[in-house]
Amino acid sequence: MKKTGIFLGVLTVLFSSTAIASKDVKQLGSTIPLRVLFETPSLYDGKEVIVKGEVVGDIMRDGKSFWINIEDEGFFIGIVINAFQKEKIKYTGRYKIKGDVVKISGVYHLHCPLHSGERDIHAEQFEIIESGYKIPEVIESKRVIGSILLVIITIFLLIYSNRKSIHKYTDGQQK
Amino acid sequence: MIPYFSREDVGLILYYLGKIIKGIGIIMLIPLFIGVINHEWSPSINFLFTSLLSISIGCLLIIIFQEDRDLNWRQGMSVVALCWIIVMFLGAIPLYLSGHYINYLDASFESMSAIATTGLTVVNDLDHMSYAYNFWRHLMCFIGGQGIILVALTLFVRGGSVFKVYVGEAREEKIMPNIIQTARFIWLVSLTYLVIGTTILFGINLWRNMSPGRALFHAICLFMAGWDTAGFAVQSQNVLYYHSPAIELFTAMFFLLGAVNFGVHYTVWTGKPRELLRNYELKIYIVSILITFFLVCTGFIIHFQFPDFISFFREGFYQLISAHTGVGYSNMTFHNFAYWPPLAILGLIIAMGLGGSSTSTSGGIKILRIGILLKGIKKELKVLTSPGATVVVERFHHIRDIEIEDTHIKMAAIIIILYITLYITGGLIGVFYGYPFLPSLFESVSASANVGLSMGITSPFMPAGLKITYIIQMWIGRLEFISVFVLFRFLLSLKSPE
Repeated sequence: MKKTGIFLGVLTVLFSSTAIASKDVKQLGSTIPLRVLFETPSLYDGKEVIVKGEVVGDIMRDGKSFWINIEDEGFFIGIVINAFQKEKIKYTGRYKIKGDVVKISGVYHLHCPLHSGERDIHAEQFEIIESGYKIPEVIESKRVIGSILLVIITIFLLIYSNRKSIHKYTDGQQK
Repeated sequence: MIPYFSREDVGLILYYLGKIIKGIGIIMLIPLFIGVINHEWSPSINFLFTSLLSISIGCLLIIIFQEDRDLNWRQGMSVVALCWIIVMFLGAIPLYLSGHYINYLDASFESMSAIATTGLTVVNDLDHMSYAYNFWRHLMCFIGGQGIILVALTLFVRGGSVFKVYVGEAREEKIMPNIIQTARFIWLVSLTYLVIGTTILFGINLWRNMSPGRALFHAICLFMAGWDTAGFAVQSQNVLYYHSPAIELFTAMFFLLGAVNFGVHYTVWTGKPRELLRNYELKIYIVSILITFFLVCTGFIIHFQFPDFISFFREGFYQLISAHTGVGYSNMTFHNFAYWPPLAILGLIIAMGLGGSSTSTSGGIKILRIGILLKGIKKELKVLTSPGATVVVERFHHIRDIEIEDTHIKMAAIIIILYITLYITGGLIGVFYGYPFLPSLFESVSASANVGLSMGITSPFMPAGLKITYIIQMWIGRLEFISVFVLFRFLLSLKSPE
């Protein structure tokens, strides 16, 4: 009896964890551009939407959940995610880094009652559709050469202007 | 006709400009250092290039126009007005080289917006900008907010010229008897709050799981742009990026402090906290915030869309004090203005137009001038209703007891009229370019009063003519007209026959 109970318990845990995981793995449908959510918010307020965008900046803790910001064609929105979804993000967009592009389904709030009236989406399903990557830095040789030339010119001008000031000062003293 | 300026003045003005340009070049070594420690080699080279270019130009002017005379008042004013234009062009070079701006005009717009502590932005893809460029944007806000002259001249120039140019930067009050002492006190206050503010914001960012380096970077930038009422932010979404009421609360505290007269700071710091209760400018300021917030609330009574009062307060009050102090930080996107009623927007426009305290980092008409005008009206009404021989005296307390004189009222009225003219002119130019009147007026007031809130007109895609208009408005608004007028007279006198 005890063994059956343990077996059933393990089965329940396995089943529920698979269900949670499959919810995030499930393929999401077509997305709504963030621009549309901003230009016609009343059409989508309180409804489930699917959006995609590049994760930019930082992942910020807020109690047990986390905030990320995604960018889609110049429009940004804050997304509330859980710790499990957070672990999937490898790259967030910043200098020399293209962030992961994520696809999210969740309820869109023009004024979220849980977050003091913020415009947000609470992610329910979450998938990475494009992995982020590092962007190599391009250094223009012309600017390097120009800077080296300027170093020489600047040193010369600094010495010359200082000498002129000193001469002027000593001339003034002699007079 | 006796020329207002002689040819000799040109040499003296260029000599002092050379000193300032050299100083700006040296300051550019700070973002260069930020770039190097973050292994951002391309931005570092661009900053090295611009820094050396500035130092070279500065040295050349110093060598060619070597002078030992002090500036007089008119020359000082011209140096100020010209220096802000030159710093705009120099500051724009690394921004333009960053590739985040469509053209040099956009980079110049950003540069002027920073030094004039406005905060309107035309940047592209800010979220992928390097630390060095982003720090430069915020450092320019700090330099501009403290006063370019205050920064450059207290570091690189000594002598009687300093006060003439200090006044030209719209800082008419000497807090302490000596201008160098005054400058040092302003630095002391700013740096003390910089340490306190950065520490608090750094702590919040760390607690929210940011990496220590990024937490510190965000904290410093947020403080610099908040204290100097500039309103730039590290990320595209401005303060909304953080989704944090704590960040909003503390930034609001710091920009409210930044918008208080440095003279009041000094009086309180020297052990006279009662000044906070007695100061006429502060009293008018609080009343003005309450009245404009009442307008915002009234506007929302009919169109209340928020789930609760806290949500409304968070959005409405933050925008209002951001507008009134001239900081321009925002915890919403400009799209939210789509559901803001016209009366609430009008409340913001009035708040932006009035601005903060005199001798503070905020722009706009400044509350003290409104107070003086109100006292002037009261005085005139008393004169009209009193018997003929009665002598009417009006006083107010601002650091010390001051008796209202006709010259005070006249100067306040002139500046108020000039600001209103500037606001309306910019609004009409916006209408000329095809934008509706209310957003045009909003944007014009935001630019002229150096606020930085936007209803969406300001973007990389707005007409070039409008960008130039806003650049001029930011420049004139920050310098409060006088030094710009002196510069125009200087330029005209150079052309007029002797």
